[in-house]
Amino acid sequence: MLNNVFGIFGSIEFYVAIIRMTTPLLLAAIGGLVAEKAGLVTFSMEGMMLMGTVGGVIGSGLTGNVWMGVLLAMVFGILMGLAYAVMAVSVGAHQIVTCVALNMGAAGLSAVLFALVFAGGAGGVIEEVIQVEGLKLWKIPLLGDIPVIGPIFFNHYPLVYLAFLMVPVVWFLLYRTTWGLKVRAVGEHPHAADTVGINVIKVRYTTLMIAGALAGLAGAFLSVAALNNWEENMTSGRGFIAYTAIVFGKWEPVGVFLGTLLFGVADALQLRMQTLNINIPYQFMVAFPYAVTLVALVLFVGKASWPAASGSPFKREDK
Amino acid sequence: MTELLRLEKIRKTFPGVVANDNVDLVIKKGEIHALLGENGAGKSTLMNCVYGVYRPDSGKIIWKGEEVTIHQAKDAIALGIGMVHQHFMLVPPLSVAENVVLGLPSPREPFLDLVRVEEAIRKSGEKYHLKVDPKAKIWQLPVGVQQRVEILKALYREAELLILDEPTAVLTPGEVEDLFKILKALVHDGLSIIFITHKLEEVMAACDRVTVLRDGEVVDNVNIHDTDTNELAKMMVGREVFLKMEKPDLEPGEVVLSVESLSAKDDRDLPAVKDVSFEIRRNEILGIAGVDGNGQTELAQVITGLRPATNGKFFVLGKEATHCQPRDIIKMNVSYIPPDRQHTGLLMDFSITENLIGKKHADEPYSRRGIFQKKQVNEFADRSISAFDVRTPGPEMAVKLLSGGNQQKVILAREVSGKPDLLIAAQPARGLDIGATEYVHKQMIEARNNGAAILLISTELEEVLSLSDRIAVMFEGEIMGIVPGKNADVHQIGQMMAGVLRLNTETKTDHKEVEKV
Amino acid sequence: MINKTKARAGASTRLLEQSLPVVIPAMAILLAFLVSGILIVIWGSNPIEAYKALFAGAFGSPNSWAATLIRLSPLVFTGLAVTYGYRSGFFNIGAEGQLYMGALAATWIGITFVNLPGILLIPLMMLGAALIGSAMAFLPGILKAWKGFNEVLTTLLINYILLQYFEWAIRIDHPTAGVDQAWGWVNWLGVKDPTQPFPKSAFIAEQGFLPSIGTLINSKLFVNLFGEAAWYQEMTSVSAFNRITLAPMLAILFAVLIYFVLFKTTTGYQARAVGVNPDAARYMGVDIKKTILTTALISGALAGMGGAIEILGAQHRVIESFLVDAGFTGIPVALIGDLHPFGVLLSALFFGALRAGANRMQIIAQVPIAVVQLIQSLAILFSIAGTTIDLQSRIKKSRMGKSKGKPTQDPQIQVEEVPNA
Repeated sequence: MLNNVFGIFGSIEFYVAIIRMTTPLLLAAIGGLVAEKAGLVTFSMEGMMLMGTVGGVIGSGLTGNVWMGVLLAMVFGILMGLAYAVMAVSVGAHQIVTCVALNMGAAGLSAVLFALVFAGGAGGVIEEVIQVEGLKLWKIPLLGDIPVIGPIFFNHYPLVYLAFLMVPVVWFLLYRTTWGLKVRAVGEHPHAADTVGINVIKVRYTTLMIAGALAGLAGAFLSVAALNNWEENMTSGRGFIAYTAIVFGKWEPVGVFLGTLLFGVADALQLRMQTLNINIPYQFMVAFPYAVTLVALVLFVGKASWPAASGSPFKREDK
Repeated sequence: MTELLRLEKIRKTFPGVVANDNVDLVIKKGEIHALLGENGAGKSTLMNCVYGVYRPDSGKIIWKGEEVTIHQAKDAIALGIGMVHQHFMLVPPLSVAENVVLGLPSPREPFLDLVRVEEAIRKSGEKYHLKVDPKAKIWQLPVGVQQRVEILKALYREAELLILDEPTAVLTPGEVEDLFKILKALVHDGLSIIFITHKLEEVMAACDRVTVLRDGEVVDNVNIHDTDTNELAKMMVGREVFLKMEKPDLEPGEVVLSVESLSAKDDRDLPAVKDVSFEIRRNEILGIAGVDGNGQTELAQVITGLRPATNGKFFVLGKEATHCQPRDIIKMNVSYIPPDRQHTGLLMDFSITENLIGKKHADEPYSRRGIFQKKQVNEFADRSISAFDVRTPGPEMAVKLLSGGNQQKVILAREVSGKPDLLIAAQPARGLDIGATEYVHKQMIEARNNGAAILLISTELEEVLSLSDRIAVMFEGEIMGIVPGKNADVHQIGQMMAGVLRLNTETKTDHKEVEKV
Repeated sequence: MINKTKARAGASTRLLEQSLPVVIPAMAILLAFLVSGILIVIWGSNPIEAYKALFAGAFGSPNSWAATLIRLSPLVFTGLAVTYGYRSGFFNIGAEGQLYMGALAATWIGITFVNLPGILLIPLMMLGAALIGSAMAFLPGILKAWKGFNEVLTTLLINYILLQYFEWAIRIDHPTAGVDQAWGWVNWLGVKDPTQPFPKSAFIAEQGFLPSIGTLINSKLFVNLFGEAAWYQEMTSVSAFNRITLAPMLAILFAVLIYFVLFKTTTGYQARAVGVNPDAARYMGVDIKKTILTTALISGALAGMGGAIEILGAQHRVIESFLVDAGFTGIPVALIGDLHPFGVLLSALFFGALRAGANRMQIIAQVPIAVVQLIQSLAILFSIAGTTIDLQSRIKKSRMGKSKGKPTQDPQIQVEEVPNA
């Protein structure tokens, strides 16, 4: 038993895996946080990420340059964000329902786009497993050579560094800029924000585009960083986990980071445990991170307090 | 003194209502000007026109000698007009400094420069007695301090005219004193202030001039030195003649509701009902008069079980009901017409029928073993609809599509048809036209004649005067006095409503200084 | 005079208003087809051909109808589950997991109690599925009722856990008579058919198969009555009738039942009241906590039965990915069905038809099945956009009629009340 524990916690790969598994969750969640702070329910991150996955492979596949894929993933994410903004902000439709519909649409659209590009549309057949240019690991000079710490923290895909960098960036954005102040006001008391001349609609649209961009990047990470190909439902619920992480983190950047990290640890843990001779069924391992998140939510978060204006469309009173 | 703001012939209507009619107002620089009136007089509406929340239908707004059009709050702020509403426009999780600077560009764009703001807040604090910790979060601050933040917000935007809408409604007596100090300091520095209120004592204590509004029109405007509370009360409340409902003189029967030293807090955790005691007997209507926000709503909520009492007791037909759930109080044959029919009174998406059986839905004969008995339910609905004259194409119509008057009739039918022992009616005729109002009043009188004890709570003095056998006046959570309804002295009631007269036999140790005129 | 005109205008606008719950989704669906048609053109297929194939695959032949009806049945149940919950303010996102567990429970019963007569076995399977589905919704229900926990997160997380449990259970050998093997207590949780290596269960006992129209037609009774008739001979040769079982009938039955519960019982009344206005409901004496919990249990039970109906009426056993998305699709089914049990029937028909026809659309017009997901998604989006905009204009109109403060002394404003149209 002790052997196994040491086997897991003593291996460098474990910690590297944690960071890799946390990255897509973190990218999506930290972006979603910005929109959530503006009073929007970002249950649509799953769909945004999906579009990001397909954007990544299409961009990379068509141009041979993985960075074009990353860019396209961001664009797709932003477009999804805009679609959500139209429904939630301009029309004022029910946000969770809209998210469910958008997630469903993204699943269909991503599959169609992939087949369109790589199989030529109608009549086409995908001959073999598509492989596209993927991201390369970037080892940070000097820091990456430090024993133990180096390989764990400083030898990753660029999107990994971006993800972790976004935590202080988003924090700064929200709490140290005038725009961030507007966002927070809009999410808590849009009426008050309106009376001081803030354009609530514009702020909400912008935050959704940011959320879309980052979720798109998260999707790109899943397709062109790790696997370099595409299959349906690559996100398998990670967008929802990102949403859960926001709630778990009580809408604070550090808390959100810890929330995604929690799931990342649990996920890396269950993967490692599968390789060892532990007599727990594989499916229970896969379910483990979700169970951990649920328990953590119930025990430590209690009745979560959404930003006061969350979920409600903003309409100015009639004059 | 120079003229700062002039309003000429302002008229503002809403569908079915004339809120302001032909209103002239002049505000001079450096004065504290009171805007005095009861509920519905049009004070807030008028000021909202100045602040850009509403647009007047006709009339002119002249600022510093030039005519201006104000489309939104932003425009008013740009001119130098600031307003502190009754419901603060503050963002609770943000700090004082963040709220003050919200929406304004920073000298270090895009970065926030809170240090500068905090400095400015501290300076203003010193100068105007507006001491606030700039780093505190709004939700941590007591209401009185939050109000100061609103004032600071206006000052930071270089307001020259500050409008305060019923500012003392949320303050303790000590905080009221502080507020007056602040206002005097602001005026000393050249600011002008409009002070909307219904409380005469404050008008006399803090203001230089006063304009009295009544039913949307200006009654008069005078210098404080040239008038007194008696005259102001007369102007405010006015009417000599009013429509009185026919009701037979009945001997009041047994005590139905007995309230003993009841106290309660409002949603902001401030005392709203303070040591209130009274009795209501069968065949009598006790009307509680008073301007909105003096604890009447909270009192009704305590008696119907929707709000906990912090002290005291009340009894229905001898049985203590102080900490009962709404369901239990309903069982005591107590009915309630809530002041906000759309929120507490009705299930808007439900049909008329489904609303009518609301309180009895689980009882025989309307349901048996959990299944609705269609025949009985429909019969009850039809009977109620015709008895209470609800105008509708059918009982299945969703209540949200009915007019206000018909919605109120549905509530009446639900509450009155069960021959309640105690009926609490809060603002029963709010939003209704003359015909519907008459109908509602008739129903209440009938209930009274049939043996019910009725507690009527209304901001419409006319309504209270016309229906009540006895009249109580609430001011700042206390009952200022109870007088007979017949031949009631309206001026006396007006004075009690404005807080300058107290008639009672008990004394309390922390009385305010009162004038008995 | 003003009022008479108002009244007449009121009547015709009211007619329009009342038909909107059907008109809006119908137009939304049309628009969705239109927009998707554009995508199909980009894809390189002919949208007319594609939609023709779609329609044919759903309604073109008895076999198509059979496929559509098979798809419809579980969707009705999940649609009802979401509808009932949503009406009470309980958003059951975890219907998928509850459905899978219900199917698991039904199958377990069907492969264990193999000697029970059909008349007992079938209801027992449905009941087992309902109970398990309920149980899965119990925790989210309690958490929301007592602690105010948002049920979206709890049902969602539990959903993923349940799906994994299902994956596990179909890989654990179920103790089966006639198979010589050592059984541990764990095996009683599993449903795998031990005689073969794949992650699937054995078929449930034959008496557990829901009777089909085919069995009815070929029954002794019918043979005796119509044996000689030519049309009868034709009918017996239609193989599709073997695939149309009592399942859609059960679905309709439950739709009627839930309609009854929602609108004719105190339980449904209280559930709806809490969903419309918890404060007013509380004032009328409704026990809010109890209502939320009851709602969760009923919603879970319905979703569980959705899984059972698929086992009973179509697949007769569980297998990996045996019914993907039927749980989540319950949400759009409920919404497009205007949250009304009968609307759910129509809506499930639409979604079922889309699924059934998608295969044919792919074969004939080479349009991928994923396009159907897109059509569904667009239909929901347009539908809720339409409903939201309509609701807002109605609220605006009704606000106009409600006067605040003192009435005008305007003689034109009459005393007679005309309900807002």
